[in-house]
Amino acid sequence: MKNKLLAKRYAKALISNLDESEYEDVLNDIKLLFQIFKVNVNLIDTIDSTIYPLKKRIALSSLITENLNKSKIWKNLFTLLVNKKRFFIIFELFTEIEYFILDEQNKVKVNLKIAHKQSKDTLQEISKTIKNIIQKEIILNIQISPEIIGGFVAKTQTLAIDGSVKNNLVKLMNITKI
Amino acid sequence: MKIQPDEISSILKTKINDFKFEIDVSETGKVVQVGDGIARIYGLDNVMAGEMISFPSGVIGMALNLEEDNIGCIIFGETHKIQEGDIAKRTEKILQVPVGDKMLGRVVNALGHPIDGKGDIEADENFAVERKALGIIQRQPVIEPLQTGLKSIDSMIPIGRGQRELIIGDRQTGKTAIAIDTIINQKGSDVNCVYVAIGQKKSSVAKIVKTLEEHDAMEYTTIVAATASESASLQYIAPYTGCSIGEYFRDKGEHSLIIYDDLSKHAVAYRELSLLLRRPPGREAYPGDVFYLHSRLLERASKLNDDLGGGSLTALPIIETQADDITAYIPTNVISITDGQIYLGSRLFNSGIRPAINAGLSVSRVGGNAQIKAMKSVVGKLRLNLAQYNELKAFAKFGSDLDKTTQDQLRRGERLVEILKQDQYSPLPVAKQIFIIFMANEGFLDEVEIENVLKVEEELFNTLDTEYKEFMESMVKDKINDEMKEAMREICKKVMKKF
Repeated sequence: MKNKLLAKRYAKALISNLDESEYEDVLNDIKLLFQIFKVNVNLIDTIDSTIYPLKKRIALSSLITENLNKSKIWKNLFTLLVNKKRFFIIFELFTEIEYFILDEQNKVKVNLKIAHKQSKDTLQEISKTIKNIIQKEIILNIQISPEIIGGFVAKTQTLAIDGSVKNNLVKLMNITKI
Repeated sequence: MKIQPDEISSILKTKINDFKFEIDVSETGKVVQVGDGIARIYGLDNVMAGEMISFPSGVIGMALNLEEDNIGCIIFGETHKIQEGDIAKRTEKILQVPVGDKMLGRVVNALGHPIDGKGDIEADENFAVERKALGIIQRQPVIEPLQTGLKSIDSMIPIGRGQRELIIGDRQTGKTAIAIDTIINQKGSDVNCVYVAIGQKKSSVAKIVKTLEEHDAMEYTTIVAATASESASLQYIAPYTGCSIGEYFRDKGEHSLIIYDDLSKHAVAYRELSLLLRRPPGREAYPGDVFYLHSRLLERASKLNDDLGGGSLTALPIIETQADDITAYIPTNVISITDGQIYLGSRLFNSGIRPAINAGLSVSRVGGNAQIKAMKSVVGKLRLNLAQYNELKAFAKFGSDLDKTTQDQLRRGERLVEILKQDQYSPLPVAKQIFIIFMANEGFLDEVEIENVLKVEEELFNTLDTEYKEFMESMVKDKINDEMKEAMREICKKVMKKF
């Protein structure tokens, strides 16, 4: 979890060097980089491993950035991380950069839990409720979790909205204690 | 009172009918690091300083450090129940504790939860733990006395209601004894007491509870205990909790007395938290705001003006010194904050003078105005006589021949020291205190052997109790005039005839 704090600092620095027009390119790059590192599970360990010479590790990280939209920025960032032996925070860094950019665009990623599969209309109704609370454009990531019994639970990085039947039943139980 | 099953079902029905399905919205963060009673939380960007934070296991914390990308939070409870990655929620409430009349007679922890096994407390209100000290307009000068029942204090270092009087001394010099005696002496008066035990052994707290119960003093006393086995966070918050409980009575227009036993351990607990929160250490590794830690606490003691009910909160903080050094960091801080100090010397204690009050180093800066007129007119040169005696005593040790005046002064001093001795848990009514001091000052005891002084005192009190009850009551009402003094002399002569 400490990585998150570290990643936030790097993300802040990166964002301050970006122009608003570059945000979309960076977001697309992040999507691609996420895939690359998820598919090649050992890549992060290899780049971060001091067993291999520093120059080779920097070269390897630069290779990854070659075909990206903002290859120069990524190359510099990766080189810095390799030099500082902090390449292991890369996933947290992507998440933080994404969060910052979406925040700048008044958007937010929301993990939405619902008990059962819902119709399009119901989902729209839920997203409207969430949007009203958060006051931002939302990007939904839907999960089915029967343990919430009904209703929904929405979570962003800084907010939890609990409209589940489970939560209300717990509250009812506490109220009816005599 | 028995509740019928029908009533229960109707209550339940109403509650279920009134229940509304709600959506809970709360700001959340994630626990980045946890341990040693401290948690670092990522997120919670809008959290307030001092705000309560709830963790999934039901543990409560308080935000203390608001940093750029994380917050430092102290945890009140079991740290091991919180794990890295746990969700921490904002409560949007500043830490509060229950207060009310039902707190009296109870032993509670630093969060105001009962720990005496006597069941839940139905609180009248909840008060924030950290409350701002009242302003100048809301206050009035200290004008009413708070009797401790101890001759040496009530005569030489009088304490007024709303005053902050420090009790300072080495370990085992009777600091707690003075505080407990003061609580016991409030029996039958209109003063409610709060005793805050910080970093003490559980057995010591249990002993205090037992003593107070034996003297029927628990009826008007609340004990807030944050013992040595509890976390530094709870020890840090305990005096503020006790203060809020005391303030409830003050704000109602009543009088209350709070004892912080002791603030040295409180400062140590705060130093521990500050170092764990990575705040920069200063002198003796205490953080920079250790003065503010105690000043904001002790400033809450006050005497309210009549428009606000005229209630008062008197504070008796205790500080433990090391090797009689009152010039250490925390002692000097608290001495400068309070309105005087009662200094207890270990040498005096070991030489059998108990309470071991050093009259030269003890002072009450505002209590003089609150001292009752009768006592004021009798005390006169008691302090001066004692100081002269102590000075001459040193010379007398050289063994040279002494003139009569010096010998008289020494004789008087010895007897004054003797009458100021007092057993533990035996506070005296102010009238009796006045009488015995008058007797010594007038020289009635000069011819009595030292070992018989206590016997004379006992006889005097017996005589007063049996024959002069009304006279005693009238005596304390106003200044003692010449007529009264003559009557007192007659009583003294009557007692002295028996010896």
